[in-house]
Amino acid sequence: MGRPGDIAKRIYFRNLLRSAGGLRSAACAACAAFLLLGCGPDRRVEARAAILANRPDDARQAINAHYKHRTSEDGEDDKRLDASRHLLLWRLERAAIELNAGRPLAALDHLQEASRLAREARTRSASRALSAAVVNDNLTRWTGEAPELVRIPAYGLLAHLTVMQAAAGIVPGERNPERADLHADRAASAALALADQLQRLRDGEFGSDSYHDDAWLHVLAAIGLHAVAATADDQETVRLFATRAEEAYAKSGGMPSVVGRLLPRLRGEATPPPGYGSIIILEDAGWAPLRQALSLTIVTAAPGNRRSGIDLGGVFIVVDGPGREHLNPLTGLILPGSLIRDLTRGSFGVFGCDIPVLPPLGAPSRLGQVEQTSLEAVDDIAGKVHRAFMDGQKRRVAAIIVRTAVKLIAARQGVNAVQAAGDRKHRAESEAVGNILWFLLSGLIRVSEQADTRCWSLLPGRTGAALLDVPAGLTTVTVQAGDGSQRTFSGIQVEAGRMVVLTVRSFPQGTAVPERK
Amino acid sequence: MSRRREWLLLAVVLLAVGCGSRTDIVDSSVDLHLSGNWNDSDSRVVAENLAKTVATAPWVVAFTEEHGRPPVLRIGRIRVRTRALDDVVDPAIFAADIERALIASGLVRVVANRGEAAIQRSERSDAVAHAAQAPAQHATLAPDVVLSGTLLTQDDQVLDRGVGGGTYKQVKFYQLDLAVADITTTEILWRGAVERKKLISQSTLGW
Repeated sequence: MGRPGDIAKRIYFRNLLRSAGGLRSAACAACAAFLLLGCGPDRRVEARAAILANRPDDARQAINAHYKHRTSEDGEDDKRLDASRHLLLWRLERAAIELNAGRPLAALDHLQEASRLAREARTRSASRALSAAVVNDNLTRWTGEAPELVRIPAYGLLAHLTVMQAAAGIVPGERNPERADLHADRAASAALALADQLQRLRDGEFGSDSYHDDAWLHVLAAIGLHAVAATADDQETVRLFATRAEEAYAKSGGMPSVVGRLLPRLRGEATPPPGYGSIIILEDAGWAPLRQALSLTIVTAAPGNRRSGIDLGGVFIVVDGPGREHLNPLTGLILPGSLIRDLTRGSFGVFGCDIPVLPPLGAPSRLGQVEQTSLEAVDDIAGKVHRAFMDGQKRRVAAIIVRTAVKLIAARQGVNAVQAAGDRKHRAESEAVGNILWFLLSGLIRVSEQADTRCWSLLPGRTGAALLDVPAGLTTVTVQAGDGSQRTFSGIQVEAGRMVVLTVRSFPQGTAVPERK
Repeated sequence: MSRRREWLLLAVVLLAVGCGSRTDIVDSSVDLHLSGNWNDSDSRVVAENLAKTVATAPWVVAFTEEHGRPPVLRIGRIRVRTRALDDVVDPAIFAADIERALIASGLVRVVANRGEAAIQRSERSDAVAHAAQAPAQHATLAPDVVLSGTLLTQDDQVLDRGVGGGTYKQVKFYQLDLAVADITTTEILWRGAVERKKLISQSTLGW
C-alpha cells in the first residue's frame, strides 16, 4: 500500500496515459487547425484583383476585412480602430484604392490621417515590443517603411493637384474657385511636406540603410509647387527643390531625359515655346512587391526510450512560400531515434518559423506612350521597396531565429521541470506526459511564429513620365497606357507658360497578381 | 476578505478603469493643443493679435483723418503654406476670426469677401426681381483697402537620445505675413506679421 498521495498520482498518470492516444490525436488536429488557419485567402491579393476588375467596393471590403476594420462608411463604427496596430497601413491601402477609383478627396482623408499616424508611430510601445519579443513581430504597431513614408505627402500632393485642377476648370469637373484656391494652397503645403519628409529620409529617421534620398520625389515636389505657385517665395522654393533634385541625381546617376528637360523649366531657365503650356503625364504602373511568408516546419518523430529493437526516427522538413521551387518542398530523413530524442527532447516535435520575404523582382512594368512619345521610367518604386526591405532582413531573420530558440529552450526547461516533479517510481508515465507536453508546446511555438508580412500592398511598382508642350487653350491628350488601355483627357485648359499634371494608373499584363500566396 | 477576492476586486476595478470612452464638453475659449498642428486656438489668438495691430496702426488714423470716415476693408486671399499633410489650416475660419476681431475693434469697417459678396449680389438680384420691398441697387460699399497675406510655417526638430529611449522635440513656428494695400493706388499701407510658436515633445517610447 502506498501513501494516499502516491495513489492519487498513480491514478492520475494512468488516466492520463489511457487518454494519451486521444490527446495526441487532439493535439495533432489542433496543430493542423492552427496551421490551416494561417492559410486563408490573402485579402491583399483579392484587393488587387478587385482594383484590376474596376470593383473598388470589393477592394475596400477586402482591405477592411484583412485589417478587421469597419468604419462608419460601411454602416458601423469600429471601436478598435484607434487602438489598431495596423491603422497606418489600413489608411494607406484605402488611400490607394480611392486614388485608383478617381476619388481624390476621399484619398486625402486617408492620407492626412496617415500623415498624423506616421508621426505618432515614432513613439514605440514598450508593451507591444515586449509582446513581439515573446510572440511575433505582428504584435508591433506598423510604423511604415521608408519608401512608404515618403510617398504619403507625394500622393497627397497629387491628390490635391487633381482636385485643384478640376475645381479651377483646368480639367473637366465641377468648377469651384474657392475650392481651387484651397487645394492649390494645400498642394503647395504638400510639396513642402514632401521636401521635409525627404530631409528626414536623408537624416536616416526612417531606418533604411541604403535608401537615403529620392531624386524623383524632389522633382515631384518642384512640379507640384510650380503648378500652383502664386508668390515669389513659391518660385524661389521651386528653384530650390529643382536644385536638390539635380544634386540627388548627380549622386545616384542616370537622370532621365524627361527630368533633364523639366529641371531648367522649374528653375526658370527655360520656358515652353511662346504661346505654349506644358502637360506632364505621370503613369503609375504595376505593383510594388508584396511581402510574403516563407514557412519552414520541421517535424521530428522517434520511438520512446527502448532497450531493444531498431531505434530509428524520422525528420521531415516542409517548406512553403516564395522560392520553394528552388527547394524540395518535403524532405525526409531517417536518423537514429536516440539522436532525435537527444536533439529534440521528446519523441515528437514540431519546430520552425515563418520568415517574411519578398519575391525576386520580375521585369519592370511596361510604360505607355502619349502622342508618339514613350513615357520614360522616372521612379522605380518596386526596387526601392525591395532595397529598403533587404536593409533590415538580416536583423529580422536573426531576431526570429533567436526568439524561436529562446522559446524552445524555455519550453524545454518547463517540460523538464514538470518531469522532475514526477515520482521516480513512475518514470514511464512522467516520460509520456513530458512527451505530450513537449509536442504541444513545440507546436504552439511553431504556430506562434507568424511572419510579419505587412506592407503597403497597393503601392505602384513604377512611375513613368512624359512632358508635352501644347498650344495654350483647350486641348485633348490621349495616353496609351502600359497595359494597352487608352485614356483620353479631353477639355484640358492649358495656359501659356503654366503646367498641368495628369495621372494615369495602369496594370500591365502579367503584373496583376504577380506573386503567389 | 480572502486574498482571492481581493485580487478579483482589483482586476474588476482595473478593467472598469480601462474600459469605455468619455466625452467632455469644453468651453470653446479654452486653449487645447493636441497634436501641435494649427487649431482653433491658434486661429483665434493670431486673429485677435492681428486685429489689434492692424486697427491701431498709423495708416488707420491717417486714413480716417483724410477721409473723415474709417477705412472699409475687405479680407483678400490668405495663402497657407504648412509643412505637414495633416496640418490643415482652413483660411475661411481664419479669415472669419480676423473679420470678427476687426469689426469688434470699431476702427475699420469690413465688407464681405468676394465669395460672400457674389452670394449677396445673387440674393439682391432675386429680391429685386421678386420681393415687395426691393433693396436699393448700386449701393454696395466698396472696399478702400484689401488685407491679404500668407501663413508660413517653419519646423525644426531634434531627437534627444536618452538612456531608455529618446524624445523628439519639434518647434513649429507659424508666421502670418499680412499686408494692407490701397486698392486705388496699390500702395502698401501697412505690412506686419503675427507669430505663433509651439514646442512639441514626443517620447520615442511609451506604454
